[in-house]
Amino acid sequence: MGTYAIMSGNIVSGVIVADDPQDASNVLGAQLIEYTEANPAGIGWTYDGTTFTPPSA
Amino acid sequence: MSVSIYSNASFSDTPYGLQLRQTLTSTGSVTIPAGINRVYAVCIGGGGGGGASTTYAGGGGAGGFAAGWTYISSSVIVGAGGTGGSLSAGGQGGYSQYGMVFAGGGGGGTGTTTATVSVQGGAGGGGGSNSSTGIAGSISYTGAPAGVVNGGIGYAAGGGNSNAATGIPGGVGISGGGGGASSQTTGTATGGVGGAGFIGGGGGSANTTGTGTGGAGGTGNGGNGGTGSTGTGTSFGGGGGGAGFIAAGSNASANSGGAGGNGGGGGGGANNSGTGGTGGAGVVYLYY
Repeated sequence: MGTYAIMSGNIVSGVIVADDPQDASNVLGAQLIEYTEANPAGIGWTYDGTTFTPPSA
Repeated sequence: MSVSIYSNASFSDTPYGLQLRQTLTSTGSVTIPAGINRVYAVCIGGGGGGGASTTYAGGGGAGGFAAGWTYISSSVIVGAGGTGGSLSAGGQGGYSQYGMVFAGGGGGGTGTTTATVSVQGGAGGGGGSNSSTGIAGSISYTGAPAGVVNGGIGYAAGGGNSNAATGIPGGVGISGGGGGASSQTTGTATGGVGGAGFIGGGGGSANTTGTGTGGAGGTGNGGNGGTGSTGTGTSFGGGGGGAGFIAAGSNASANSGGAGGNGGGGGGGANNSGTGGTGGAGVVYLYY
């Protein structure tokens, strides 16, 4: 079981849990990127291709 | 002639003759047996993460709760718990959805930054910190109005504000609000407790050179909220995680908040640059 960011461009629009990210991606029709405690993500955060960054305020 | 529905075998199970057939904890495809066209779905969104800052921060709000009939769907979305803050607000929990039944994620606790107010699905708001007030809940799936800021009771309760000696508790509701932090820097300080409900909010933190105690997480269907950390000095004072629908909340550890219980519990707030507790993951139940 992993945690995944639902991407809308380079912005995180949602966060989900999934066993099968490909199936989840197909269901949502969106790109998913896994995040972890070491590389956390949240709704509204941006992604630069490597790291998620929270909003500044 | 009188008829009792209770003597009808079709109504011997709960609710209304239905049985729990699937517990869904992962986003993806769902298979419903042929001949089943409608199901009764219970959706719980992910809990909000606890906030964090160099001083004190609020607990995360509980995930939203929604239940009702829906036409069947071949897929489900299960929201993750919001990320605990790291010198920032806690993250908002993810929404859960099956068919047309929808539960929003809990609002994060405010920290160095202000948490985002949940706008849909009925999640409880996060508690206040040094940077801002707590945040409100949101309108629920049933249309029940949002709980207001500063511990407003509601289907989706509001988060408590920070306050001097003792943080304002999160509002009580189906989904409890996050507790506000204590803003007192000397002497005895206690974080606000998370709001209780089906799903509990996270406790707020305390940050004092005296005796500090983080607020306990709110109780919920899954058990008790976690306890706040207590001790002398700013190395203590993290708030406990709120209980989820499935599991109890986790206790705080030193200046970091406890995780919310599985099933949408809100994460506890952190103090003195600790890490906010992660919100509990959502879940979806299908009865047919």
